[in-house]
Amino acid sequence: MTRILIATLFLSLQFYGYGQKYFTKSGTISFFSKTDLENIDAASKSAVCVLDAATGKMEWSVLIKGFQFEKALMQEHFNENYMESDKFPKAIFKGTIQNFNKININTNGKHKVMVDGDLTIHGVTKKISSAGTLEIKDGKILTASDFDITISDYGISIPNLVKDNIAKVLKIKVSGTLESLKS
Amino acid sequence: MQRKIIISLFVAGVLISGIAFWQYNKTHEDIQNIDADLVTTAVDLVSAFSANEIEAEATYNGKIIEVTGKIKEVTDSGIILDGNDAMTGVLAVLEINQDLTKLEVGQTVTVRGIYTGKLIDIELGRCQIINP
Repeated sequence: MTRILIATLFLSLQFYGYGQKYFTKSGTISFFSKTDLENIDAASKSAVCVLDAATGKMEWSVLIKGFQFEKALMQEHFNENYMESDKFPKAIFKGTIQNFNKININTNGKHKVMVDGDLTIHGVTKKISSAGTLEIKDGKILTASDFDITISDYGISIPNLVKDNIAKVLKIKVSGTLESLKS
Repeated sequence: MQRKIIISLFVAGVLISGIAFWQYNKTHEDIQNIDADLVTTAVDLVSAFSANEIEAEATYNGKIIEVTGKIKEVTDSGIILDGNDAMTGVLAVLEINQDLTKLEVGQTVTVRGIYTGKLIDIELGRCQIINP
């Protein structure tokens, strides 16, 4: 498994080019569910992201069990009943930043970008497209994006008892400060 | 008689709703107060995963682990303990009540947390610093 993961994160990107890689293992991914009954949010601050500066290809992964909820029972239900995190331990996004070659990553500046790619949650892969920002700051790349996902798209079923407590569409926020990977 | 039954049912109803409400809103129990299922070092933990990840995953899944190791890196979310491996360490995601400022790279610490999974590092969630 270790080898497969390392291969996915690093080596697979090699096929697309030999450019400079940017990397973080402390990216933040949070989600927010808003209903009339209650608001629920949870976050993980240990998401991994690799960006290939030659091609604009980017890959994110996060451990489902790494999402922290305020309420213990909610976290238990999230893992055991909804996300089945023993069976599907990670969420993964593989995509490309559009027009990345027009951005000069050697000059400080903030850029609006579009990212397209495949998002895999709960073992289901869907195409997504999201707007975000890319800020070049003193050799680091600060990434941020917000987008919505529909729970039912990913084969996640919510029992009737709590269906009014959980929004059908979740707001997702992703951010991370990527540093140049010394190879 | 009937009145007694109604009162008993009412009291039972209130109690059950109270317990359900309390359970629903309960926050996480402090790891500091729970004994670890397994005690190990960062180096041993990393080598267990590199020897056989599937077996290690089965051993540690859902367990509370106490790990001692040398701090390799202090990140936004916690600390990474050196596993004597270029790629993999033990990432201890600290509870927000834990003070990161007193921690330094190279220092030996013991943390207790719940095994969360493995991406690059082996991740422990809701960690508390046990020592120092």
